[in-house]
Amino acid sequence: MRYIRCNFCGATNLRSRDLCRRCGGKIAINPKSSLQTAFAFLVAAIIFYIPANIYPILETSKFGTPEASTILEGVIAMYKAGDYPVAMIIFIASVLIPILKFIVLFYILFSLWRKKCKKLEQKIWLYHLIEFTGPWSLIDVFVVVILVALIHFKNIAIIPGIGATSFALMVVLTMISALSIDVRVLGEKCER
Amino acid sequence: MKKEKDLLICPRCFTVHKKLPLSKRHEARCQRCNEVLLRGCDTLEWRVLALSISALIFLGLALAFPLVDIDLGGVSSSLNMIDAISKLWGDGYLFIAIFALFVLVLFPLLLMGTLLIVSIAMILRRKRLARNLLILATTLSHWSMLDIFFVSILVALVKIYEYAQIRFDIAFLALALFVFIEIYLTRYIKLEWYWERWERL
Repeated sequence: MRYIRCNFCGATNLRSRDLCRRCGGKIAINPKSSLQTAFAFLVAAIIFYIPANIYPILETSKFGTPEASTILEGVIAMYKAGDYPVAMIIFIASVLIPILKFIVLFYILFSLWRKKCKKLEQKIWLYHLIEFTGPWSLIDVFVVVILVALIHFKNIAIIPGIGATSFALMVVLTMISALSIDVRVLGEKCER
Repeated sequence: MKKEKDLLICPRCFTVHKKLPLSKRHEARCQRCNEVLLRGCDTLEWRVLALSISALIFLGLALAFPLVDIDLGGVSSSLNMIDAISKLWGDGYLFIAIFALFVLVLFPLLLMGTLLIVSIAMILRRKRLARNLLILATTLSHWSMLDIFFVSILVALVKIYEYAQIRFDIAFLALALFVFIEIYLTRYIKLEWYWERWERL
């Protein structure tokens, strides 16, 4: 292939160029460094996934007695209260999707590393899905922000927990990991 | 030999296409994967100018006034974005407070301000200025998260609607309109199309 697409602005460039003719960004493919950056951020994100689920994301204090709840406890409480749709949304958005994202990112990174070309189109589709859904996991963190601001009465107060900070960090690190993967490498290596 | 300017590579499947002149309300799709590559629009920069000004006005309203009021057993409280962030800061949650300040206030403001100046620069044919600001806007577009915040408000209200009376304020509508415009300007019209337009100035 003689042409390459700029990752930043989408311009078509001749492969011989170093910098994009339109936005001036680097266009050379450097699979090794992008792989390492993405992997490092992914591992960091997985580390933060642990405190995000172990520590409470919210602490409710009723008449001075604090009561903490983790993400899973919150989902179970809502399920028991009969709020099935909201319980499902929270469970999918904050427990299931992060794990699926880790698996998919590992899968993409592995196939970039081993230069595997099977199911190329599905991989690129999966990558775009991860990139698109990435920030939506932050719903849980923003809900905490909103509840903290709304509920601060004499008797009842809501305090954010350590889990919220870890969760936000996890989502941001996963996003950076996904953004540093160069999908062109998948396409490039496999084009005949 | 074809020039680079006349070619377009599909972002999804990397097929190389030759650009054809596109008339109004027509869209170009990828031959292989059917991804929308470009949409024809003669008045892109004017549209962006009008919409980014309205988005900035709506965002100003959404930031300045309370979004929702709740009434819990006779005691009322309201949700104001700036107050919410400063409360988090006061409680010692520095990371979340700074993060929220950036992705919910500063980045959306900067993004819309940048798009506003980009459109003016494109109308005045100041190519260099427009290019530098387009680089900024492309970077910022990943990190403006008011659309997610909007959905979060709804989720938070579902959690408390049993105990509290909820009243939506006018700023809530302003936030909804801002999110709508932002999605139109950065997701429906992709930033790459601004670049395509810039190239033909």
